[in-house]
Amino acid sequence: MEHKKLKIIDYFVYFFILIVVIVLFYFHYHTNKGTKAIVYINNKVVKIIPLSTNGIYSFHAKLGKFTVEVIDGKIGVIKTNCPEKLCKKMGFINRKGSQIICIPNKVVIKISGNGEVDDISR
Amino acid sequence: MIFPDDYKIKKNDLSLIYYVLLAVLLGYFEGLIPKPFPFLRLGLGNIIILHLIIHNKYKNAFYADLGKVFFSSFFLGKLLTPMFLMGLAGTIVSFFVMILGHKCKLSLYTISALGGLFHNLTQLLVLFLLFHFYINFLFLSIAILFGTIAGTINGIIYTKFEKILNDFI
Repeated sequence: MEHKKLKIIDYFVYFFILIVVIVLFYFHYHTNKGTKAIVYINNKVVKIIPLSTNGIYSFHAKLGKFTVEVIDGKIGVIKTNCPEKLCKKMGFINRKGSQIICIPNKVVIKISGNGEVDDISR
Repeated sequence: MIFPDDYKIKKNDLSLIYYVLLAVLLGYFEGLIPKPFPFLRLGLGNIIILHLIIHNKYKNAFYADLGKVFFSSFFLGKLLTPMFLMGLAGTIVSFFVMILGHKCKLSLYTISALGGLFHNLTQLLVLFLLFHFYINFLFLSIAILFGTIAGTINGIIYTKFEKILNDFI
Protein backbone atom coordinates (compact mmCIF):
# COMPACT_ATOMS: atom_id res chain seq x y z
CA MET A 1 0.00 0.00 0.00
CA GLU A 2 1.44 3.31 -1.04
CA HIS A 3 0.57 4.80 2.33
CA LYS A 4 3.45 3.01 3.98
CA LYS A 5 6.19 4.48 1.87
CA LEU A 6 7.93 7.49 3.33
CA LYS A 7 8.40 10.08 0.63
CA ILE A 8 10.52 13.21 0.71
CA ILE A 9 7.64 15.35 1.96
CA ASP A 10 7.28 13.09 5.01
CA TYR A 11 10.89 13.65 5.92
CA PHE A 12 10.33 17.37 5.47
CA VAL A 13 7.38 17.31 7.87
CA TYR A 14 9.26 15.35 10.54
CA PHE A 15 12.29 17.58 10.16
CA PHE A 16 10.14 20.69 10.48
CA ILE A 17 8.55 19.34 13.64
CA LEU A 18 11.99 18.57 15.08
CA ILE A 19 13.14 22.12 14.36
CA VAL A 20 10.06 23.56 16.06
CA VAL A 21 10.63 21.40 19.15
CA ILE A 22 14.31 22.40 19.34
CA VAL A 23 13.47 26.09 18.94
CA LEU A 24 10.85 25.87 21.69
CA PHE A 25 13.30 24.14 24.01
CA TYR A 26 15.84 26.85 23.32
CA PHE A 27 13.32 29.59 24.05
CA HIS A 28 12.40 27.93 27.30
CA TYR A 29 15.87 27.53 28.70
CA HIS A 30 16.96 31.02 27.74
CA THR A 31 14.12 33.04 29.21
CA ASN A 32 14.97 35.01 32.25
CA LYS A 33 14.97 33.52 35.68
CA GLY A 34 12.51 35.17 38.02
CA THR A 35 13.41 36.81 41.27
CA LYS A 36 10.25 36.25 43.26
CA ALA A 37 7.36 33.83 43.48
CA ILE A 38 3.83 35.12 44.03
CA VAL A 39 1.52 32.70 45.80
CA TYR A 40 -2.20 33.06 45.04
CA ILE A 41 -4.76 31.17 47.08
CA ASN A 42 -8.33 31.53 45.82
CA ASN A 43 -7.11 34.17 43.32
CA LYS A 44 -5.84 36.44 46.08
CA VAL A 45 -2.18 37.20 46.64
CA VAL A 46 -1.25 35.52 49.89
CA LYS A 47 2.52 35.89 49.90
CA ILE A 48 5.36 37.12 47.74
CA ILE A 49 8.39 34.90 48.26
CA PRO A 50 11.86 36.05 47.22
CA LEU A 51 13.75 33.28 45.49
CA SER A 52 17.11 34.56 46.68
CA THR A 53 17.05 32.92 50.09
CA ASN A 54 16.26 29.27 50.79
CA GLY A 55 13.32 28.59 53.04
CA ILE A 56 10.15 26.62 53.70
CA TYR A 57 6.75 28.32 53.67
CA SER A 58 3.41 26.85 54.72
CA PHE A 59 -0.03 28.04 53.76
CA HIS A 60 -3.57 27.12 54.61
CA ALA A 61 -5.28 26.13 51.36
CA LYS A 62 -8.68 24.69 50.56
CA LEU A 63 -7.76 21.10 51.42
CA GLY A 64 -5.48 21.92 54.33
CA LYS A 65 -1.80 22.55 54.77
CA PHE A 66 0.16 23.44 51.64
CA THR A 67 3.95 23.66 51.91
CA VAL A 68 6.47 25.00 49.42
CA GLU A 69 10.23 25.19 49.59
CA VAL A 70 12.75 27.49 47.99
CA ILE A 71 16.06 25.84 47.13
CA ASP A 72 18.74 27.39 44.95
CA GLY A 73 16.52 30.05 43.48
CA LYS A 74 13.74 27.59 42.60
CA ILE A 75 10.42 27.00 44.29
CA GLY A 76 8.46 23.78 44.47
CA VAL A 77 5.64 22.08 46.35
CA ILE A 78 6.71 19.61 49.02
CA LYS A 79 3.58 18.91 51.01
CA THR A 80 -0.02 18.97 49.88
CA ASN A 81 -3.31 17.23 50.57
CA CYS A 82 -4.64 17.08 47.04
CA PRO A 83 -5.45 13.60 45.67
CA GLU A 84 -3.52 13.68 42.41
CA LYS A 85 -0.41 15.57 43.60
CA LEU A 86 -0.01 17.02 40.11
CA CYS A 87 1.44 20.17 41.64
CA LYS A 88 4.33 18.16 43.07
CA LYS A 89 4.92 16.63 39.65
CA MET A 90 5.38 20.12 38.22
CA GLY A 91 8.67 20.17 40.06
CA PHE A 92 10.76 23.16 40.99
CA ILE A 93 10.39 26.25 38.83
CA ASN A 94 12.37 29.45 38.48
CA ARG A 95 11.58 30.96 35.05
CA LYS A 96 9.61 34.14 34.66
CA GLY A 97 6.03 33.30 33.79
CA SER A 98 6.26 29.68 34.92
CA GLN A 99 3.52 28.48 37.21
CA ILE A 100 2.64 25.70 39.61
CA ILE A 101 -1.08 25.14 39.94
CA CYS A 102 -3.08 23.00 42.35
CA ILE A 103 -6.71 23.05 41.25
CA PRO A 104 -8.32 21.35 44.28
CA ASN A 105 -6.44 23.61 46.68
CA LYS A 106 -6.99 26.68 44.46
CA VAL A 107 -3.32 27.55 44.71
CA VAL A 108 -1.36 29.26 41.93
CA ILE A 109 2.35 30.04 42.29
CA LYS A 110 3.70 32.40 39.65
CA ILE A 111 7.29 33.40 39.08
CA SER A 112 7.84 37.04 38.29
CA GLY A 113 10.73 39.35 37.71
CA ASN A 114 10.96 42.90 39.00
CA GLY A 115 7.87 45.00 38.71
CA GLU A 116 5.87 42.50 36.71
CA VAL A 117 3.06 41.61 39.05
CA ASP A 118 -0.09 41.13 37.06
CA ASP A 119 -3.49 41.49 38.62
CA ILE A 120 -5.78 39.05 36.92
CA SER A 121 -9.18 38.89 38.48
CA ARG A 122 -11.10 35.95 37.12
CA MET B 1 -40.69 1.92 15.91
CA ILE B 2 -37.50 3.74 15.16
CA PHE B 3 -36.81 1.95 11.92
CA PRO B 4 -39.30 1.49 9.06
CA ASP B 5 -40.36 -2.09 8.49
CA ASP B 6 -38.28 -2.67 5.42
CA TYR B 7 -35.04 -1.37 6.98
CA LYS B 8 -32.23 -3.84 6.58
CA ILE B 9 -29.09 -3.18 8.52
CA LYS B 10 -26.48 -2.08 6.07
CA LYS B 11 -22.93 -3.25 5.92
CA ASN B 12 -21.79 0.32 6.48
CA ASP B 13 -23.68 0.50 9.77
CA LEU B 14 -22.19 -2.76 10.98
CA SER B 15 -18.77 -1.56 9.99
CA LEU B 16 -19.23 1.67 11.89
CA ILE B 17 -20.48 -0.11 15.02
CA TYR B 18 -17.52 -2.45 14.88
CA TYR B 19 -15.06 0.40 14.59
CA VAL B 20 -16.56 2.50 17.36
CA LEU B 21 -16.57 -0.50 19.69
CA LEU B 22 -13.00 -1.28 18.81
CA ALA B 23 -11.93 2.31 19.38
CA VAL B 24 -13.58 2.37 22.80
CA LEU B 25 -11.99 -0.95 23.73
CA LEU B 26 -8.58 0.28 22.64
CA GLY B 27 -9.09 3.40 24.71
CA TYR B 28 -9.97 1.28 27.71
CA PHE B 29 -6.91 -0.94 27.40
CA GLU B 30 -4.76 2.07 26.91
CA GLY B 31 -6.06 3.39 30.20
CA LEU B 32 -4.61 0.35 31.93
CA ILE B 33 -1.11 1.38 30.91
CA PRO B 34 0.47 3.61 33.57
CA LYS B 35 1.33 7.06 32.31
CA PRO B 36 4.03 9.33 33.71
CA PHE B 37 2.56 12.61 32.46
CA PRO B 38 -1.05 13.46 33.25
CA PHE B 39 -2.32 14.64 29.89
CA LEU B 40 -0.12 12.84 27.38
CA ARG B 41 -1.38 9.46 26.18
CA LEU B 42 -0.70 7.12 23.31
CA GLY B 43 -4.20 7.52 21.88
CA LEU B 44 -4.67 3.98 20.59
CA GLY B 45 -8.23 4.74 19.51
CA ASN B 46 -6.82 7.00 16.85
CA ILE B 47 -5.60 3.93 15.00
CA ILE B 48 -9.22 3.31 14.01
CA ILE B 49 -9.65 6.87 12.81
CA LEU B 50 -6.40 6.63 10.87
CA HIS B 51 -7.57 3.42 9.26
CA LEU B 52 -10.88 4.91 8.14
CA ILE B 53 -9.28 8.08 6.83
CA ILE B 54 -6.69 6.18 4.82
CA HIS B 55 -9.49 4.25 3.15
CA ASN B 56 -11.29 7.49 2.28
CA LYS B 57 -14.23 6.84 4.59
CA TYR B 58 -14.25 10.38 5.94
CA LYS B 59 -17.85 10.38 7.14
CA ASN B 60 -17.47 7.10 9.00
CA ALA B 61 -14.20 8.34 10.42
CA PHE B 62 -15.95 11.40 11.81
CA TYR B 63 -18.75 9.34 13.37
CA ALA B 64 -16.25 6.89 14.79
CA ASP B 65 -14.22 9.77 16.16
CA LEU B 66 -17.16 11.33 17.97
CA GLY B 67 -18.43 7.96 19.07
CA LYS B 68 -15.04 7.07 20.49
CA VAL B 69 -14.85 10.27 22.53
CA PHE B 70 -18.41 10.15 23.81
CA PHE B 71 -18.62 6.47 24.60
CA SER B 72 -15.23 6.11 26.24
CA SER B 73 -15.87 9.23 28.30
CA PHE B 74 -19.26 7.86 29.22
CA PHE B 75 -17.94 4.49 30.34
CA LEU B 76 -15.07 6.03 32.24
CA GLY B 77 -17.42 8.39 34.00
CA LYS B 78 -15.67 11.43 32.61
CA LEU B 79 -18.51 12.92 30.57
CA LEU B 80 -18.70 16.70 30.84
CA THR B 81 -15.48 16.97 32.83
CA PRO B 82 -12.70 19.35 31.74
CA MET B 83 -10.68 16.39 30.47
CA PHE B 84 -13.58 15.41 28.26
CA LEU B 85 -13.70 18.90 26.74
CA MET B 86 -10.00 18.80 26.07
CA GLY B 87 -10.24 15.34 24.56
CA LEU B 88 -13.18 16.36 22.38
CA ALA B 89 -11.46 19.46 21.06
CA GLY B 90 -8.29 17.49 20.51
CA THR B 91 -9.90 14.69 18.54
CA ILE B 92 -11.91 17.06 16.33
CA VAL B 93 -8.89 19.14 15.40
CA SER B 94 -6.68 16.10 14.90
CA PHE B 95 -9.40 14.60 12.69
CA PHE B 96 -9.31 17.56 10.30
CA VAL B 97 -5.53 17.64 10.36
CA MET B 98 -5.41 13.95 9.44
CA ILE B 99 -7.80 14.53 6.54
CA LEU B 100 -5.60 17.37 5.36
CA GLY B 101 -2.58 15.11 5.64
CA HIS B 102 -4.34 12.43 3.66
CA LYS B 103 -5.26 14.89 0.93
CA CYS B 104 -1.61 15.94 0.76
CA LYS B 105 -0.75 12.29 0.18
CA LEU B 106 1.47 11.95 3.23
CA SER B 107 2.37 8.52 4.51
CA LEU B 108 0.27 7.02 7.30
CA TYR B 109 3.02 7.54 9.86
CA THR B 110 3.13 11.26 9.17
CA ILE B 111 -0.66 11.57 9.15
CA SER B 112 -0.84 9.84 12.51
CA ALA B 113 2.05 11.90 13.90
CA LEU B 114 0.42 15.16 12.83
CA GLY B 115 -2.88 14.01 14.31
CA GLY B 116 -1.26 13.23 17.63
CA LEU B 117 0.71 16.47 17.62
CA PHE B 118 -2.34 18.63 16.98
CA HIS B 119 -4.39 16.66 19.46
CA ASN B 120 -1.94 17.58 22.22
CA LEU B 121 -1.59 21.14 20.97
CA THR B 122 -5.35 21.64 21.01
CA GLN B 123 -5.56 20.25 24.52
CA LEU B 124 -2.99 22.82 25.62
CA LEU B 125 -4.95 25.53 23.87
CA VAL B 126 -8.14 24.53 25.70
CA LEU B 127 -6.21 24.53 28.98
CA PHE B 128 -4.97 28.01 28.20
CA LEU B 129 -8.24 29.51 27.01
CA LEU B 130 -10.67 27.88 29.41
CA PHE B 131 -8.61 27.44 32.55
CA HIS B 132 -6.15 30.33 32.17
CA PHE B 133 -3.25 27.92 32.51
CA TYR B 134 -0.12 29.72 31.39
CA ILE B 135 1.57 27.54 28.78
CA ASN B 136 5.30 27.97 28.68
CA PHE B 137 7.54 26.81 25.90
CA LEU B 138 8.52 23.65 27.73
CA PHE B 139 4.92 22.38 27.81
CA LEU B 140 4.53 23.24 24.13
CA SER B 141 7.67 21.44 23.09
CA ILE B 142 6.86 18.35 25.20
CA ALA B 143 3.31 18.26 23.84
CA ILE B 144 4.53 18.48 20.26
CA LEU B 145 7.34 15.98 20.75
CA PHE B 146 5.26 13.38 22.55
CA GLY B 147 2.39 13.92 20.14
CA THR B 148 4.54 13.09 17.12
CA ILE B 149 6.15 10.13 18.87
CA ALA B 150 2.79 8.73 19.96
CA GLY B 151 1.38 9.26 16.48
CA THR B 152 4.30 7.49 14.84
CA ILE B 153 4.00 4.58 17.27
CA ASN B 154 0.29 4.41 16.48
CA GLY B 155 1.17 4.22 12.80
CA ILE B 156 3.57 1.36 13.42
CA ILE B 157 1.01 -0.50 15.54
CA TYR B 158 -1.54 0.05 12.79
CA THR B 159 0.63 -1.61 10.16
CA LYS B 160 0.75 -4.73 12.32
CA PHE B 161 -3.04 -4.98 12.64
CA GLU B 162 -4.01 -3.69 9.24
CA LYS B 163 -5.24 -7.02 7.96
CA ILE B 164 -7.67 -7.51 10.84
CA LEU B 165 -9.10 -4.03 10.40
CA ASN B 166 -9.43 -4.43 6.66
CA ASP B 167 -12.00 -7.19 7.09
CA PHE B 168 -14.61 -4.71 8.20
CA ILE B 169 -14.02 -1.74 5.93
